[in-house]
Amino acid sequence: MIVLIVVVFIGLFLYEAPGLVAKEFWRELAVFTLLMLLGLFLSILLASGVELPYVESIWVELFMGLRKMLASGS
Amino acid sequence: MAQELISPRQLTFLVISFTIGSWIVLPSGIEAWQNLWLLILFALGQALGFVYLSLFLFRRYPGKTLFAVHEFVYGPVLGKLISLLFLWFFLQTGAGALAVFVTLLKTTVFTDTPDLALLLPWVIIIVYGCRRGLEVIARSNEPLVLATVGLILVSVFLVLNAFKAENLLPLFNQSLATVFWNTLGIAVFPFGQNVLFLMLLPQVNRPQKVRGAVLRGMVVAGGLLSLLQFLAVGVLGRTGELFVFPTIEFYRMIIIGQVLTRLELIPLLNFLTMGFIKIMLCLYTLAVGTAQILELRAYRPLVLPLGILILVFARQIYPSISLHLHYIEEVQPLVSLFFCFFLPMLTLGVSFLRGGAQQEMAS
Repeated sequence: MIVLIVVVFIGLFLYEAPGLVAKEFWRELAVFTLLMLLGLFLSILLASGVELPYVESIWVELFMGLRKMLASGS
Repeated sequence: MAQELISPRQLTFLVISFTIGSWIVLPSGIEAWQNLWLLILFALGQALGFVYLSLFLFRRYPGKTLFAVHEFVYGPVLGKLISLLFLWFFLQTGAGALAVFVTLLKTTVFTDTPDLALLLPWVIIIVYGCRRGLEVIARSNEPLVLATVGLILVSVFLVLNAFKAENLLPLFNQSLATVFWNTLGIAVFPFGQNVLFLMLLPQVNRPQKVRGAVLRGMVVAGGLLSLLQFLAVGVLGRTGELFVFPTIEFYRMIIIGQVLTRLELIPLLNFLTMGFIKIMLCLYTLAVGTAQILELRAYRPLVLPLGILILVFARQIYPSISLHLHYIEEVQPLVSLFFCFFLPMLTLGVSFLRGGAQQEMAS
């Protein structure tokens, strides 16, 4: 699965990057590469079954913590 | 970046789609179920106030997006930081709608299909649409929104034999605190999320008509959602609040002459079309916003990797629908209030303090 993900990402990179190089959009190429690497990293983590935190769970815990703090302060 | 222009009418249609978006199948404020259709109207009034005030930003800085205004008002560093917060908000909104889409399909139609098989085709179409630009999104939205409005209006006739007026009673049986909290919850989601359009308003070809176009879109969307809830409560009665997707259940109850049955495809279609536009607008704004913050010449190269990020985040938004419902009920009103009302008002206030008014008078 991880090999497949890497192959897909390389394919997508090769699809987009030559156009940016031809137009000399170096900043765009840098940001595109960084975002692709971030996507690749997160996809590999998910595919390997690493337990990543859930966005809304973090928000809920944060607000519950704040509520508790305010309740104990009052 | 090449300027793509849309008309005020197309903006109105986009606002309708974005507002209806995922709310059509997963309403907030379900705690006040029997009063929900009425609370939508209260919330609409409240949200119109929020948005009217937010639109002052566009009047003071015509032709500037929200992120450009941030840099102008707060300076480049703080302005970019606040814009980054908004990028997060757009990412979470888009990924949240995508996650609801998967949950809905998995609980109703494609129960055994893996998440990725539902997400991938959807994201590919969204990325394709975003790369075509705002004009294309707006044009493709027009028939979709007309179909959605048509289907909702047709529903009035479809439920005539199942609708019981007594199901609407008792009305006003909620405490004032519940009414206030739920109204706020609906005012910020779905209506308040229209703050996203502050990024798109400079692309409207007749800026003087922007305010009317946005407010009209919100009123139409609010009216449609209220009508839909009114019908849902009339058909389902109190049991409606037990369902995760009450709109789907209410359409499931429609039986006309043993021929027209199981019409849950209608809300599903409505959500597929409106949710599609909503996610596409989130991705578009995310790409345009990122390009603005990093001072890039084109946003298109960012659409693909940001689409992948939306896909990844959609899988990591909530572990279960019950946590999502808890989040919608308890946390979302405050988070959205921060982005949809507090930050725009803070920006407006600071711009007044910094003397931006002279610029407005000069222009």
